[in-house]
Formats: sequence, C-alpha cells, structure tokens
Amino acid sequence: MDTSVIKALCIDTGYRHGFRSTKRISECLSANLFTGEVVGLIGPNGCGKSTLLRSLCGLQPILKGALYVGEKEIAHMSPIQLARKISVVLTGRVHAGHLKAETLVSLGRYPHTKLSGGLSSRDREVVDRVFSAVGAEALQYRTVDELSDGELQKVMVARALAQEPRIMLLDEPTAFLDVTRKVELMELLRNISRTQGTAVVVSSHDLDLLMRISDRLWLMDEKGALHKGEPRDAEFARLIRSVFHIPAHYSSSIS
Amino acid sequence: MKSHLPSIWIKTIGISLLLLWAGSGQYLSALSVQYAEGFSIEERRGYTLLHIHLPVSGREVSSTYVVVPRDSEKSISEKQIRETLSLDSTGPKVQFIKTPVKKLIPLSTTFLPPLELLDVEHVVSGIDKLDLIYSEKLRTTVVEQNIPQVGNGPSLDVEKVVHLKPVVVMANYTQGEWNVIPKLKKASIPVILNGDYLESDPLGRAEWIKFIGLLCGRAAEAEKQFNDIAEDYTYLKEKVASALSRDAVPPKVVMNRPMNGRWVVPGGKGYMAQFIKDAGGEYLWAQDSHSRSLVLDVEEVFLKALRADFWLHQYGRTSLEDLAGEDQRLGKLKAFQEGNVVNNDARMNEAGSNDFYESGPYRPDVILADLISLFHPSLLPAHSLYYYRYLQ
Amino acid sequence: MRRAVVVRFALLLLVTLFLFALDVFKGSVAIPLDRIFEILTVPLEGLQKSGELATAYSGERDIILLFRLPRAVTSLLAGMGLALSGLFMQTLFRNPLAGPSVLGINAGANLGVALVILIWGGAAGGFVAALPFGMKALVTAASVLGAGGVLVVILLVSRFIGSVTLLLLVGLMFGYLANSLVTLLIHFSAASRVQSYLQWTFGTFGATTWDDIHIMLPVVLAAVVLGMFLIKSLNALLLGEEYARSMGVAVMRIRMTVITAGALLAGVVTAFCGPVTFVGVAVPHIARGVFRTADHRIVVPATLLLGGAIALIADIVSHLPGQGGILPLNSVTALLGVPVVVWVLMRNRAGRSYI
Repeated sequence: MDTSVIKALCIDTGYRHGFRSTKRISECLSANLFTGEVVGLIGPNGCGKSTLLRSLCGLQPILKGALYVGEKEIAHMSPIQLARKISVVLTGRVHAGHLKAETLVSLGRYPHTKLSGGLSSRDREVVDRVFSAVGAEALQYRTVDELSDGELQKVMVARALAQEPRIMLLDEPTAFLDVTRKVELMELLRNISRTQGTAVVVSSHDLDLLMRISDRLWLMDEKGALHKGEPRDAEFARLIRSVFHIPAHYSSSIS
Repeated sequence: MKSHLPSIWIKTIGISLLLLWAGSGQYLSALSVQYAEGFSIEERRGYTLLHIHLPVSGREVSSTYVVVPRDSEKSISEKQIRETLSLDSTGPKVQFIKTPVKKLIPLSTTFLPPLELLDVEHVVSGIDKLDLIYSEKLRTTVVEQNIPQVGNGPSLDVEKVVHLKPVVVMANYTQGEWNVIPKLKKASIPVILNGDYLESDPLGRAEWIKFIGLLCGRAAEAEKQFNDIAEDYTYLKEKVASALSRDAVPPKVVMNRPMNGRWVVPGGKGYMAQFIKDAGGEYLWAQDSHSRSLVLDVEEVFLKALRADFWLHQYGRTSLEDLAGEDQRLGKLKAFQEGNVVNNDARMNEAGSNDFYESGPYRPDVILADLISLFHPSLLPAHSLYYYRYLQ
Repeated sequence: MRRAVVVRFALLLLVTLFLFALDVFKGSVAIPLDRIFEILTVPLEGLQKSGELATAYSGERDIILLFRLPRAVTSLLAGMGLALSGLFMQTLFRNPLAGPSVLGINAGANLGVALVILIWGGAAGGFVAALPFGMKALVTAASVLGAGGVLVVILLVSRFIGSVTLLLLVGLMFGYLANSLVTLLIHFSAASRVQSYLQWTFGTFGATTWDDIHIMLPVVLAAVVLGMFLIKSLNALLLGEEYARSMGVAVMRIRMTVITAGALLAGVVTAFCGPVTFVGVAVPHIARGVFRTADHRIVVPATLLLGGAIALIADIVSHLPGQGGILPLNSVTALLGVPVVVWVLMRNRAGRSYI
C-alpha cells in the first residue's frame, strides 16, 4: 500500500472571526493522500475547495480534528518543516513584475537555503532542473511582466517544484489559461507526479481535463461534504452529475 | 448795519477765545510724537486725526481715526468733519472714535500697562485670557469684577464681544487666521489698531502711551509720564556714552539660543539691538541692517558667540546646568564659563506670562538700567536687577 | 551580471564618502581646506598657536568637530535609517507608496512634540515663546513616546488583523487622527509657539550633538543588522504573505519584526531630526531602479547607501553659504529628490511596477 502523505481525520474547515464567531465551511472531512498520485478536486463554486486546500497546507488553521503530514501533526510542524513537504500554486496572477523568472523560481528554495538567502550550487542546479522539468528553459532570464499567463503559470509551478516537495497543492491553476495551455499544464502535473513521485492535488473547473489526468477524484458538494471516487466509475459519474446539476442527456466524458 | 459790527467783532473774539481755551483742555492737546514711527497725531479744530502706519511684512498698513471729544463745549458734528475732510459716506479706512473711550477690550497684554499707568483701567471691559496677564492688580480686578475673557485670534468669541456693546476693541495687526478685524467688522464693532510692538526704538515703543492717553482722555498725563521716562532714559544713555568716551570697554553681547539647528538673533536695527547699544554693549550683529530677527545657521552664530562676554539668553526658564545638559557645546561659550548668562524672566509667573513683555515696553528706562548694571556695573552701583536675572 | 553590480556598489560607496567629506568641508562658515585637515588630523595638544590665532583656531575647531562632523554623521544615519524603514514598509505592505510614516508612527511623534511645544508651560506670554527648561530633551522624549505609543497599538492590532492591507489602512487612519489633533492644537496656540512648532516640522540634521548620536547610532545600527537577517524573508514576501507562508516564512513573527524595526528607525530619526519626509518613500525606488532588481540581497545595502547619500546631498544644499540662513530640509529633499525618482521610474519603462 502506498504511504499516505496527508491524512485528514474528521477535520472541520472554516474561518474564525475574532474570538467568538466562526464560519464553518466543511464538517468532519476525512481523506488520505498517497504518494505519487494525482487527485482532482472538483465541486461547484463556493463549496469550500479553496478552503480545503488552504487547510491542508497550513495556510489556514483547521477548526477541529487532526491533520497529519507524513507522521507528524501539522500543528506541531514549523513553517519551514512544512514547506519542505508541501508547496502550493494559488489562483490568480502574481504581482511581481520586476522579478526575473529565475529569481522567482529560486525563491522556492527558501526552506533549503542558508540564513543569508544565498544560493548554493545545489540550489542553482535545482533551479535549472525545474525549469527544464516544466519546459520553460527559454523563459529563465525573462522578467515576469514579459510572460504570458500560461508562461507565468509554468514558472509558478517550477517555483513550487523548486521546494522539492513531496506534495503539491494547486488551486485552480488553469483558470486564466487558454485551451492549449490548460492541457499543457495538466499534462505537466501528471508527468511530475509520475517521474518524481510527488503527490498532487489540483482543483479545477475543467472536468474533462481533470478526469483525464487524475488517479482519483475528490468531489465536494454544496454542503462542503467530500465524496471520493475514481474517474471511470459510473456510479461516481452519476454523483458528479447530480452535484453539478448536469442533465442526464448532456453528453461529455462523464458517462 | 453799522451799529451791529462791534458786537459781531466781540462775539467773534469771544468765540475764538473760547475755542482757544477749549483747545488747551484735555481733549485737544498739543501731543507730538517724536520717537514712535507707527503713529502720528494731527490736531484740527474740534477733532484730532490719529494716523497709524505700520510696517507689516514689507507692506505698510495705514489707518486713520478721527478722534472726537465726547462732551466738549464746541463739538463738531460728524457730517461737518466729513465735509472738511472731503470724504463721502463710504470713506476709506477712516473711523470715528469718541473720546474718552468708555469701554475698551485690549486684546494684547501690552496694552494693559499704559492703562494702569494712566489710571484708566476701569475702561477695560474684556480681555483675551486671564492667564496671559502678569500684573497682580489687573488680575485681581478681572476676577473681582468678573470681566469676561473673550479670547483672541481664531478663538475670539465674537458673540461675547457683541454682548458688551458699545465697546471698542484694540488689537494688533495680523494676517491670516489671527486677523480678528474682519470678524469684528462684520459685527459692527469698532477696532483700533495698535502697533506698539513693531517699534524698534525703545522710546518709540514707550511713546505709545500717548496713543492710549489720547483715546482715554489722559493725553496730558501721558505726555508728562512719557517725558519723565524719556528724560531718565536719555540721562542714562548719556552717562554710558561719556563712560565709553573715557575708555570704558563695551562688552560683546550675544542673544537667544540655538533651536533645531538654527539660531535666531535680533536684527541689528531691532529693539533689543538698540537697547544693547544704548547700554554700552557691543551687539555682535550691530552691523546688520534689519529690524526683524535673523534666522542663522547655529555654526555661524556659535563662532561669534564664543567670544561674547555676555549672553542674553531670553528664552524661558532654565539653569546653567540644564543648558549644558541639553547641549554641551554651549558650555564652551566664554559668557557661560564666566557665569555671565542672563535671562529676562525675573518677573515671570507660574502660568508663563513675562512682565518683560508686559510692562517692559513702557519702562525702557528700567530695562536700560538693568542692562547698564550688567555691562558697566560701576556706573549704577545702587541698581538691582528688575527684569533680568543671572542664570545659576 | 555580477560585475555590473559590484561596480555600481563601489561607485555608490565612493560617492557617499565623497558627499560625507563635502558635508564636512562646506557650511555657512567658510573654513579653508588645509585648516580642516589640520583639525581632523592633529590633536589639540600638539599645536603651537598663540593669542588671536589660538582663539580663532579653537573656534573653527569647535565648528568642525562639534557641529559639522555630528551633522554629517547624523545625515548619514538618518538617511540610512529612513530609507531602510521605507523599504521595510514597501515590501511588507506590497505598496510602492508606503514609507516610514505609513503606520502613523510619524504622526504619533508629531503629536507628542506638538503637545510639548504648543501646550506645555501654560499660556504663552509675550512675543517670544516662554519655553521651559530642558526643552530639547522634552521634545525628543515626546517624539519617542508618541511614536512608541502608536507602535504598540499597531502591533496589538496587527496580531488580530489578518490582512496586511487592513493594517495599512488602520495605520493611515491613526495618522489622520494624530494630524488632525495637531491642527487643533495649532488652532488654539499663540502665534509664537506655532512658529516654534513650524520650525520643528522643517526637519534638520543639524540639531544633534555627539551625546545624541550616542543614542542614534546604536539604534540605527541594530535595525540595519536586523534588516540583514530579514533579507531572506523579505524576498519571500515579494510574492505575498500566503506564498511566503507556504515557503516557510513565519509570517506573523516577521511582520512584527519588520514593523518594529521600521517604526524604531522612523521614531529615532524623527526624535532627533524632526519629521524628514520623502527620503523613506523615494530611496527604495531609486535603489531598485539603479540596480534593476527587487532582490533584497542587493536592494537592502543599496538602499542604505543611497539613503545616506541623498540625505547628505540635502544637508549640503540646505547649508550652502550665502543664503542668510538655512533652507528647510524637507523642501530641499523633495526639490532634489522628485526629479531623480521620476527619471528613474521613466528610465525603467512606464507600467513596470516594482512591488
């Protein structure tokens, strides 16, 4: 059995406002993420996918339950320890117009570099490697504001890779891309997972693409509950259709 | 016709004599202004013209007041005066004031001492703030008689002033927020400008007692008091002059203190510079031709101040220890090391009001005596410092 | 690539040293160059000067050692401190308009000083402000307390506010509040005191003695060292607080540290020099423009050097002889600095943001 790199045991996700009011998005979610697998996270807008992803990587504290990354509980891990295990790619275009692509990617070495922030030869080697891994060698010395959305997302993935994580979480990374770039990015993610054994959780509204590259799917419904299944499972497909209110006669890869 | 002529002559002579007699009375006095440059007096038959011309930041602000005695035997009507002066009903900047003024609101504390000296404090119907006044006597009067505090500048309470009508307000000329004249004009309250603090000549400043005297019906008394002071002053001045001609050495004098990297010193033609000169001191900026203060770099002043024999600190309460503690460089000044640092706060109360700026302007003879006994003690052995004190 | 950077730094260092020397050589009092060298190199005891010459010499010696040198050192320290503080604020808040005054720290200092100058000692009498003893010490203390007070509140607030932009707004609001209180105080104060306060707001590097520098120097140095340690985290913050966290930055702790360091710098400089504007906001942009990078490993030292250099230039200009006085520092900084910033921004192509 593959080892689980993330284990969520009945966690509640949400926000705490001040000392009293809390907004609970999902209640008692349990899930496992295993090495080397690609999990697609799907669900209607506003159901709590982002919140889940943010909770899994520690950007947002969980309200209840236990969350393990590897053997340790996330609450007992320092930010650097966590950063060595998990890296993220968030939605939206980052505002760092002045940075060279290479500098941006090398920021991903943060959890590994020494105190001064200077890069060792190993660090530089990793940076070069991730640029080729995402197929963006040509972009290495360009500045961010010169990059198109698709190119920038590749660079952001490279940056996440530079952290040498065991897990990558991506929150709607293809949202602003055109079709070709979407496909490119998704295929890239699958490759990374296969070649490096990285566990990947990627959320997206591109159901077709996700089905194509994912090993498993996590479906979140409007109430924030999580249903797990496999892309080729007919039963699960029916569930997906009902959560998204897709009429039965609508033909797509969900069949 | 022929028989009436003699009686007409008699009447004319009689009336002329009457007028002459009235002319020698309190209201139409032969006031002359010798030292002050900010005001001048022009006697006319039945009324007096009081001209104010103040140099304010490069411009000249002028105002003329027609001073008409209230109950004189032969008072001329306003209409007649206007005709004489060829003014139309919307005369420019000419105000009519009836003397003696019955109710006055002096907005600056410097207007108070001459009122006291001339025994007309009873006209004071309002003041700026009680805290600003040094004079114990006046403070008591204000409290006992419940004289209202109307504020000044932006915090002037015009309503309170209106309540006190009919009243005349006496104010300094200012611009911007602190200018109360438009506000008072809107409320139809007459304002008299007083520019005493703009005089650079010590006697000129004191001469404004005549200004107050004219307005309050004490012109002759004012003339007399001023003459006494001027005499004393001149006497002292001449004593110093003759001492200097006999090889007395004028000590070098520096004034004020550094703040924020700058050192503001009075101009060479200013009030204090004049005092220092008359007292036989050598003001280090005597060559300067400004009457206003000079804002200089602390370096420049320090270099000169090193050689100064006397330091007139004049900047709030302090002690030698505190001065050195704040800026140890000041300890290098010769005047500091020889203990010749003086402050003008010998008469300053808890609230911070300083008599040097209240009664001082009207007693230049005392200030001069103070300075002389500092610079040339042998000339006035019996004098003890009044406004000044040595810093310990 | 590296070569260009090293060369630029070397040039910058030389320029700064030259400016420092110039600030010591030039001032309102003209002292010949050879005399200055003599003063700086030969100790007093070893000199034979007599009579008039001795007094003149000792006067000039005092000027150089007790006025010019402290002024130059203060300019350097203040420039460095303000520029670094500005850089901290700009990176933390990801806002190119941020500066040392953005958290309302300066406004707090202003309020403290205004309270002291405009209110203390009861009513103002006469035409010269009746300032009580120990004025300078009082003003300094008031400035520090004012800045410190606002800092404490901001730190408390920042613990509970998640978004850094919200914190910026809160700081700005504090600034408005403090400034309006100052205006109120001015409204009710005697003209002479307002004049005093106004003089303070002009800012100056010439009000400090060596004793003051004994306080200023360690604080600025400590903040600079702290800044060096923060470089790595500051770089990570370029992508925003979320990415920074995901890369291992202890965001809350770094936020507190940066705010504290930035506020300390702003507070100590304001306490001794008055509110010096413009330097904190402009210099980081110039540094980023000249070295064409946002990497803090280069930008932090560049900002320090440029800050010092610009402050020295402003000081030299405001003390040029033949002006009948000295120009207000804050006017000079903006007059000189604005064209430079605009030139730098234009040169690096319109539309390219540095934050």
